[in-house]
Amino acid sequence: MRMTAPLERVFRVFLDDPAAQRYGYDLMKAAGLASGTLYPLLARLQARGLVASAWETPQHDGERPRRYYRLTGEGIEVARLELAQLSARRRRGPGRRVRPAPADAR
Amino acid sequence: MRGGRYALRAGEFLVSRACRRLPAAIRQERYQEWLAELPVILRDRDTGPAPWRVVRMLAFAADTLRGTALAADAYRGAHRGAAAKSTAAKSIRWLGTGLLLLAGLLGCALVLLAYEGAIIYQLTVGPNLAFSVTLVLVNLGFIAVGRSRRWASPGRRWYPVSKIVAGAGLSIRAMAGPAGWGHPLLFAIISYCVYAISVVCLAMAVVQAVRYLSRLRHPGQGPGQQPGRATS
Repeated sequence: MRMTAPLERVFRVFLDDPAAQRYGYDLMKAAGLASGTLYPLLARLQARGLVASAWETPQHDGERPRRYYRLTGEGIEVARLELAQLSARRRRGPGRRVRPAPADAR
Repeated sequence: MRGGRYALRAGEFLVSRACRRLPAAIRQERYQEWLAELPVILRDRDTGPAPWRVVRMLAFAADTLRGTALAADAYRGAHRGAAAKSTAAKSIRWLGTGLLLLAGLLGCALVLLAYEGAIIYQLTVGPNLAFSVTLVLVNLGFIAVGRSRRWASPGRRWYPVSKIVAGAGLSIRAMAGPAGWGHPLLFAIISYCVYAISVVCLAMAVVQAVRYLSRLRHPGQGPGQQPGRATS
């Protein structure tokens, strides 16, 4: 999965408390994403088995049940790995990439 | 909140429109999920004053519309192939939109030129040509725009294709008559064929309009039923 800025934000929000169950709207607020960006992203993550969702039981009569999301075990691992790789890439910076010298340069 | 109920209805309408773009299997589920978020946004005092919350709720609902329009493949279980396919479909749709715009501009320009007398043929030929060329471009545009959705099945593609044929025939006739190209009989035959196609298209348009009206009167029986009323 390509690491995009919205995906990075969603992973960071989830990893703040990996065990927490989060509603779509809460994720939107925490990650600062619009619904049209967040929900397709969650759907993709869910299709890959990185995020699981479940419906809550409404506490009051007439209330609609809400759906909450949480990272799966695999999702936590992948999110940590991806964020670590991203941080490493950022530390290296774009201009300091090590490339092998051509053979005739010596 | 006084206007909250109406705003909520508007939000529900937007969400239902968004869900209509989704595959039937997940439509109801997404509709319920997004609908449940709307009153929560309206009640969320952290967001700000009531009018701002209404705006936020409507923005949420409107953005689901954008999300389902641009990333419908994500809801079908995205993978690289599907994403690439959807990118190609989007490009074709943009091409179609371009063709439609071009058709509009060309149609206007030709009609103006014809009535200004700047076009080389007689006064009657210009509008004919403008109409037929526009007809061809508009229908090519419609095919490209709706390629991945409505006209995906070959059975539904014959209608715009036949209009393109009719438009092409009319274009040839409009240009060939005054220029004296070919045998007059050939163009007479083309004319009759074009008229026949036009009559069939017109009849089909009437049939489609009647079917659309009957679907409006009896919602929930067609493929475009509202997600909120769907039965599982």
